[in-house]
Amino acid sequence: MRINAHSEILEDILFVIYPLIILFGLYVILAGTKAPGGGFQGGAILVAVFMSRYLVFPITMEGLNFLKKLDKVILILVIVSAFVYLITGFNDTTDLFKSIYNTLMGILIGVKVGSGLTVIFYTFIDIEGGDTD
Amino acid sequence: MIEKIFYVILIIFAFFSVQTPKLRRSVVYLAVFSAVSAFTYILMGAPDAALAEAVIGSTIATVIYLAALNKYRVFMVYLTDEKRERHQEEHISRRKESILLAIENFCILRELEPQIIYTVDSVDKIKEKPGWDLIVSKNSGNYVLHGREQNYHVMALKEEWEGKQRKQVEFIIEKEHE
Repeated sequence: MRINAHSEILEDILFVIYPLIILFGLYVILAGTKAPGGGFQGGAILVAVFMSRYLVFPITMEGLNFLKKLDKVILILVIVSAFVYLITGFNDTTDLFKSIYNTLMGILIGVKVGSGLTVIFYTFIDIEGGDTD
Repeated sequence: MIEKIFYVILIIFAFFSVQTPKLRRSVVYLAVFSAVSAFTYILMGAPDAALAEAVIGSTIATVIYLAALNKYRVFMVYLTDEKRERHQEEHISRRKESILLAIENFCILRELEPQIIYTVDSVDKIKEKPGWDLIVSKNSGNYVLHGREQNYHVMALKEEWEGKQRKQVEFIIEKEHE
């Protein structure tokens, strides 16, 4: 059962909207240190790319294993970078270091949330053998 | 003042999403509920929470609900009339078969999404297709319903209707092959 059978309008609009969604997600991640937003929200916006892809092409995604590995690696990186930041004493230094660290952390968390939610979504879809059509 | 209006709207949509008989509509009401609640978060001065609510509540959760509904809750009913060459659209929209209304009522009670397909194929041909739950074949005023034994919704329908003693309906249940 498909939510939508092949639809050219959806397909074409999707390719126009893709870069805009990605741009907005990156903006929310990077501006998270000063403005509302941050890694979690930006990552969730990036997931919308993969989800809208499912609505138009209801097929399972290739490269899911890569995302699973990326998810784990980024989780380790988040923990390691937090420890490094605390232990090396960068947190007592100038504001420049703090903002660099905040931005880095935002990017890491954004990628982590994006890959994690995508893996959850596609695993959920794959349960019970997928679509029957 | 404007906040209070949105609180009332929130309550209304929450009520709708619980009360509507069709699950797909209730998912849409929930998405609207999320969008409105994101706006009230902004009014209350929490843009961060509003952003998260808007993205997760009205996008990701909605898509996941729709995918889940599509997977498990669709009750595929084929209505076949082998004598006719094709179904005319007027005929379908103007007079809905009373048996289909009865099936739809049954589906609403069990929170299923009925999906009815009009066809002129023979019953055996439909049975080869994957995903059918119930085949209704019309035979000069009488209806013959084909189902499978492992489909518990069909068995429940059979039990319910045999209690009511509908005269024009006959059930043919396929046993599971082992």
